[in-house]
Amino acid sequence: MIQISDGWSGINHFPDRDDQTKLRLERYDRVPERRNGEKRGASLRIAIKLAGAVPLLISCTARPALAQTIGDLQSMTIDQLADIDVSSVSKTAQPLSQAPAAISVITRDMILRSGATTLPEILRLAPNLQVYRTSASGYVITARGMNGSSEAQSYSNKLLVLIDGRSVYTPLYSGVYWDMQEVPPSDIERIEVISGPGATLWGANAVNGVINIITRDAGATQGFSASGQAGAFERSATLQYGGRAGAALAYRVYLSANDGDSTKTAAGQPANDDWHRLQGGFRLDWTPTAADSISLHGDLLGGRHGQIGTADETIHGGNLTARWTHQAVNGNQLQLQAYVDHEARGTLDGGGHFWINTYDLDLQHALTPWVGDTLVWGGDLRASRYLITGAGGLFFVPAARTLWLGGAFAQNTLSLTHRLDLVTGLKLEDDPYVGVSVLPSLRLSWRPSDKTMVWGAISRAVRSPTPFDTDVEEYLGSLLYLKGNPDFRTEKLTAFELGTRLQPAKQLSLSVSAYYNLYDDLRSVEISPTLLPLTWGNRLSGHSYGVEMWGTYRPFDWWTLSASLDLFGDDYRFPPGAIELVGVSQIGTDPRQQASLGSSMTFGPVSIDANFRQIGSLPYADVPGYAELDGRIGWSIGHHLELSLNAENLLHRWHVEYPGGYRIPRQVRIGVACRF
Amino acid sequence: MSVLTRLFALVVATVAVAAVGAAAKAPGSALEFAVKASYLTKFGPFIHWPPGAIPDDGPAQICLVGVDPFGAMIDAAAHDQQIDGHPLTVARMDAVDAKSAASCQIMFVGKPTAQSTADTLHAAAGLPVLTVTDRSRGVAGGIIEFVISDGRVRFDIDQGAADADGLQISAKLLALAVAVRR
Repeated sequence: MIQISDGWSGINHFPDRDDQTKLRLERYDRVPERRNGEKRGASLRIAIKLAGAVPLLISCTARPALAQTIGDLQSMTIDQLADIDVSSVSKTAQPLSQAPAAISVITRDMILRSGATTLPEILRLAPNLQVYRTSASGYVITARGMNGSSEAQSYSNKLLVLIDGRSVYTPLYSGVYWDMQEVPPSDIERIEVISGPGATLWGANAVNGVINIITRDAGATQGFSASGQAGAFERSATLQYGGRAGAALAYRVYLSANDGDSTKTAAGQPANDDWHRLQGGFRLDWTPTAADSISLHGDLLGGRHGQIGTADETIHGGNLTARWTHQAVNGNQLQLQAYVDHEARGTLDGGGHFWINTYDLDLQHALTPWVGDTLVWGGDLRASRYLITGAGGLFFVPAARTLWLGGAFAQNTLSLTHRLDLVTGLKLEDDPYVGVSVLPSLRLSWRPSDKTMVWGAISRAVRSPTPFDTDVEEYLGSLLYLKGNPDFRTEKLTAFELGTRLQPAKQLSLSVSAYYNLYDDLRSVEISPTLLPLTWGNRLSGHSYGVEMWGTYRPFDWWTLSASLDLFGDDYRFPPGAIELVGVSQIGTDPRQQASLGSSMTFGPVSIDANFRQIGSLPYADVPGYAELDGRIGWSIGHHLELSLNAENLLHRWHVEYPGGYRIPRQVRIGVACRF
Repeated sequence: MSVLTRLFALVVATVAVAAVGAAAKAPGSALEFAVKASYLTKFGPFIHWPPGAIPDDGPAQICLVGVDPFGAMIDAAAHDQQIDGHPLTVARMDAVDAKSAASCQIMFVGKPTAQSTADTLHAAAGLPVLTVTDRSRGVAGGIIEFVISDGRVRFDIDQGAADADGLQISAKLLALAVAVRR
């Protein structure tokens, strides 16, 4: 069923920026030289040295802690108790409601009640993300701006996305192939979305945000379930079985299929982008002793989608993750995780293709060196091997490499007083291109009352160079038109954040965060002394700023209302004398505001949900703002059966969300879910 | 304690930990047990006891049988809490029989001291007592079992056992459970 393909389409391996806007590159039959990947022995040695330096880090960085008293706990609801991270091992060492960062959480309930069938559509529920659907299966997702520009081949690349601890942004260009990241929606426990930098814990690429997708324990998905949705535009189905082998071992296996029809281009022509995907996977949770838990999960994925003017693109992926967590009697926790991940994309009929395999080892240790304080430290080592077979004028030279990445971090939460916490952290990361990056952060949180928290943070993050920055070669006919820059530097961010989280009444909760981001060495398109080839430079700098606010209000047990508003501004510049090719809009064309309103009602077995969103126009592009409404009506019949009516984009026949994007149509789907 | 003193203490403590290494005996996971103690005092409103299960004029009682991992935390957590208008009290015992078990509305079965876990649970079987164990610490059985799921204190519910004891568990609590056995 799932095989490694060897087709692909030149530049189209980047997700769904299509020919409409892309530089049209003619097919050119040159086969690039292939050199085998250079081993980065030096990086490995540095990583080992870093690991040795960890005790030093512990003693010289302050560490964050949980200062929970029984009094605090007593005032919490039972749901809030269930949300307290007592392990500190998930790198967010605090209960989410107290983490000093702009975190929103998409709960399982929200996911099921949205009726969304794909991960990007689920992410529309996060008030601090911007989601642009570019085609039937293509998405661009950002936090705090920088949505890129297809014309300038600037692809959104400043988000870190984790699925059960496995990083899914591709090392090839630091973006995410959203059409390769699926989890059956009902298996998701929750999604934590952090806007703002998280580099101190998660390393390079956690520049503008972190999306942390956590799936359910296999013990929570027992029994047989079958669910499906079908409509005129999209269909999906999932079959799952969860069982136990003895008291200590639970497992589940699933198979899911998705299928979507073609959209139309902005001009109304068929976009030929119909798509199909088939995915299967399993998760196994084993608790051999009271102190140890082991989980093993994996997925296999295959699919294809159509493209305009060229053969279909195929996608293949597979991953396997093993994690061991040991909870010592003294409360310390040790976690060791290893994963392998395979991704391949290619265009049929002799187009280009690539594969990339990633091997990752990650260690984390959380301890309580002092009552009320928490120290988390850890290290990771990652190797990514790839082979890119160019075609259509796009090549990577060398075509194959092995990229070694190593890092070590420590973060301490220190309770200065009962109500004041200081979180200090440092990550050192050694990447294959520029060596060691130092990624510090400082956070302070203050709880003037049990219902109020104010936090502030200063942190630094970087986006490391990738093969797309250093190795790419693009041809127009026989003319070398664009060449990567081996001296490309990291893109750097220093972020200042201030936020508050309030619960003025039991039914009302609010979160407001403001940020000021100072960027330097952002990627720009530059000319060479002979004009061509163009190359990448680091000549853009500037700042962005904004406010994100969201809140929920629950006037009655049966009714929850939510609202959000993001305001955004930016100003980027070239240094004096720069050629300013393609302008500052190559960084992105981000809406100045985004707002949403949601309503969620339950009447016994019937649930009614509506989510309205309004997105501002994109300033440097001819994409007007739009407002849309998604909705769902669900009807549970007994414990085993639920019927639903799911609607997306009810307000208009179609709308366009991204420059060069296709028409995203209104759609209605009927859904059935049964569980035994 | 002043901020400076605490900072100094932290530096001393972290250096000590780094020096002694993993063998260092850090204070236990106080938060984990504080959360479990809070759960025990908050389950009440989500359970329907049959009429007469709670004495009309008496308090509702949380019994801790065997090793008590909570200490004063659970007394503090139970303070000012109620079940159906009955004030909540905490009693500690090494062993129970059917008679003494009947005086409990909620029974937390800790690591055994004088009586095996099976015998303790057997004594409460058939009585309207919400039995709770801590599987994350190696004691399993009863209606509710604490587990650690993704760093959070959560629980499994054995609805069949609750039915057999005449207890009704609200849908809200069932929804919070990691797993429900029927």
